[in-house]
Amino acid sequence: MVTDSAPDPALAIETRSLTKRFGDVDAVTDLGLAIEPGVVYGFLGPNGSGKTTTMRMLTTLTRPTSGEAFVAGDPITNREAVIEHVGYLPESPPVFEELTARENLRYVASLHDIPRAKADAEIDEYLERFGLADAADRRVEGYSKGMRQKLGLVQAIIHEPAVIFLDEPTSGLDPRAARTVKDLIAELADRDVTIFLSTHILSVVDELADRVAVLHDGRLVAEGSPEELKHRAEETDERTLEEAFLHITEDHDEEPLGADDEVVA
Amino acid sequence: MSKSTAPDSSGTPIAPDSSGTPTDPERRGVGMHTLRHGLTLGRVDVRRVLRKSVDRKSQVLAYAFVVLLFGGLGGYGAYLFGRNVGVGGDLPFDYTTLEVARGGFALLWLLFVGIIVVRTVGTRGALDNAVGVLSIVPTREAVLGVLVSEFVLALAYAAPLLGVVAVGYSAGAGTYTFLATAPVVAAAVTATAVAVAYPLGLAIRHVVTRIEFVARHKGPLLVLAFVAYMALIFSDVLGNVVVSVFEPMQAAPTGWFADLLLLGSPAGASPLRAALALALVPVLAVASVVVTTRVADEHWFADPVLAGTEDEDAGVDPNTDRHDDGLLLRVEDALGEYVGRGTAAVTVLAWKRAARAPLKLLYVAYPLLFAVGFIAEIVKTGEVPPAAPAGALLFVAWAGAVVFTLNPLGDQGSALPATVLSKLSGREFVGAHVLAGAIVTVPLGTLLVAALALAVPLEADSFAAVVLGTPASVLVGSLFAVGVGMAFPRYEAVNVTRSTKAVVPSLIAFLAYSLYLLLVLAAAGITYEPAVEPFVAGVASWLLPFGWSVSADTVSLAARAALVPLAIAPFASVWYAVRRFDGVTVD
Repeated sequence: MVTDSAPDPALAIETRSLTKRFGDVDAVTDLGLAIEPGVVYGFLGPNGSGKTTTMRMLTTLTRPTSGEAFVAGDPITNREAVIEHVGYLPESPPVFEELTARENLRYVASLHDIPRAKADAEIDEYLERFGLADAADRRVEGYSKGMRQKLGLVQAIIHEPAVIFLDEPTSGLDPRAARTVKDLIAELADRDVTIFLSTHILSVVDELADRVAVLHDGRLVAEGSPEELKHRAEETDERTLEEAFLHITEDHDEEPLGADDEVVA
Repeated sequence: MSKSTAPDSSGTPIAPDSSGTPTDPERRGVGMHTLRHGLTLGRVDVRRVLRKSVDRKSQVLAYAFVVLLFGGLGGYGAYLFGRNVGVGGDLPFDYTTLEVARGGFALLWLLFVGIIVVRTVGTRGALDNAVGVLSIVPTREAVLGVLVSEFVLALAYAAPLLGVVAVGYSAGAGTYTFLATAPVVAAAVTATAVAVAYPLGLAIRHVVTRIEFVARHKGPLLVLAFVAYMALIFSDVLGNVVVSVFEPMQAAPTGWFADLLLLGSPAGASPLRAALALALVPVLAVASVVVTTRVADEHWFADPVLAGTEDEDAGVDPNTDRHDDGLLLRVEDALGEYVGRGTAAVTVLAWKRAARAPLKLLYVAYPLLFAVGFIAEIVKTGEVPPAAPAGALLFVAWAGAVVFTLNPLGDQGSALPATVLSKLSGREFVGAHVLAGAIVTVPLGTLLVAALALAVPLEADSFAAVVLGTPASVLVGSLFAVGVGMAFPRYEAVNVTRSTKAVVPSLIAFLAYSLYLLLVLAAAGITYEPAVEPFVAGVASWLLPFGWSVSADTVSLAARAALVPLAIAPFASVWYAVRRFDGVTVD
């Protein structure tokens, strides 16, 4: 059962026993997160571990089975309030193929009530910054995966949301574009925007994230700073975040979890 | 708090300190912004649909065809009606012009609602780019956008059709008040029909896609619904219902649109009813937004029933076909003993793909649409015509090849590179597809043809000819089809219905294979039944220019001669297919 008790006002994202079940399948189980504003929160996990489901719940696109969650102080049961605070870039960028990049961005800006002149100026700057200016008036159906990804990212941030959910934001990007995205994430975080970042590219998390959580089979199996997770891995002569990730998820493949195992660091 | 690199210096606007930014209270709830956002969503949706339609020339042609055909027929009919009856003149039955118009509008409105419901269940009930829209605006704004878009798109049909009818009627009757009221009526009819039909269609779509039993058996249920619909039409039940409800429908509020159209004419339209017809528009529009928002909140956010369709991060697929897998694995193993593992694997894969996407096979049923009248006649009279077994034979041979052998490369989909790079030889690949079709089509098709031949009943020699001819036709047809399919593959999906895409054989492959079957049937028919020869000779002579003619003997000789290349063609086709696979490239 989904309930709405009072949120912690100091947190940008908070979940309490958040659970999602699809039929007999537990996609996310008893998830507890407490993320402060301005944090870049790396959300890791193997394929099918429940990362996207969690993000969809937090952006109100999927209803939880039980538990509660708050985004920027609003319960996720209040869609209307939550969507005003969030920007979301899903793994497949939500763009209209038949429109040009500029038309897509104007459309989104219009739905966010950004005045036309301001929107146009920002759109131009973002298009320039992401190397899309030359293709701005071409239909998106001819775009490469990386171009769509960049366009989707601009859509997610153009209204200056307080919390941004990014699902594999550097997927399909060349190194220069990936650097632009990483710089942008860093800038946003410097302005106290909270970034919820799901990616398989662990170097991105290692470089950007203040906190890291590892989800496995829908359960939170580790949380801490990248250094803390690496430190944990060092106990087994491992040094990198990748090795820590493999170590943590391997542990939980072998033995079922108890309640105490959920939050490690 | 970030530990990352220095900020970019490009001057790109970056979010201000926005943690805990209070929500703008003016954006909450319903207000002008709701209307503004709804109109924006609707406008963009219409623009997208128009662009897509213009890109696909066939849709523009279909639109022009519908408007010209129905507009022309309706306009001319209205002109004749207006010229002969006028407005308010005597009719050859008990109703007045106004009553006929009221009943007609009420029934047309129902038809319009039905069309929009079907459209909503099929395609429009799913929000395009749902994540992009619903993560930005509340459901009611998205709903408003869809309703606005549906209204505009439906009006694109209603306005010209009603306009042409109004012009025709005005010209015939010499009364021109309709020209002023027709656009208003078209808009009002469309708005109310969309207002009722969209939420209804969305609710049906919810049942069809989110109720597990229905979603799982959607294919068979769709076929049942289609059969029931055809039965209604051909049993005259639908016609009788329309006739019997015509009078009561004259009193329905949706009949009041007739009063609005005929307002100010000598037909005696009621100004009160005309005003009430106009008042229906805002009432139904507001009610529709409220109801549709409730339904959309359920439907657009409901968990998918069939895994892998919307949320790929749901973990284990709860709907795996393990029980099928077990049986098919055993079949594959058994088959592998005789034909080799590679061939058996591709054969079983072809079955799995066909069985797990039954809607994709809809195109095979298209020829049956032409036979609906024929089938209805059989059901009505209980008598099977002598040509039915031969017709069934032709269909079986055609359908079997179309499903399994007419596009073997395209049917591989994204797995084609893996198949091409495997150890599978061209011989195994081609053999597997022919085998997949033969194992399914030969027994089923032979049974069907035999049952029809018994029902006729055919003479013993004719019975033997069609029953033995069925497996032979299936095999020969498949062998020919596989080469044609390899020569003219189609890789991209096309619309089978408005809501279902499938990779179907290419048009050239369809035509080449269908032509081959017809030629075989003609040559074999002429050879088997000499009585056909004079008839064919007569038709051919009539068709030939410069007074040339063809004798029955020439026809007989030509048919026998044609059988030779037609008999060789399947083997040549297989030979080509094997070599084509061995040299296939993935561009």
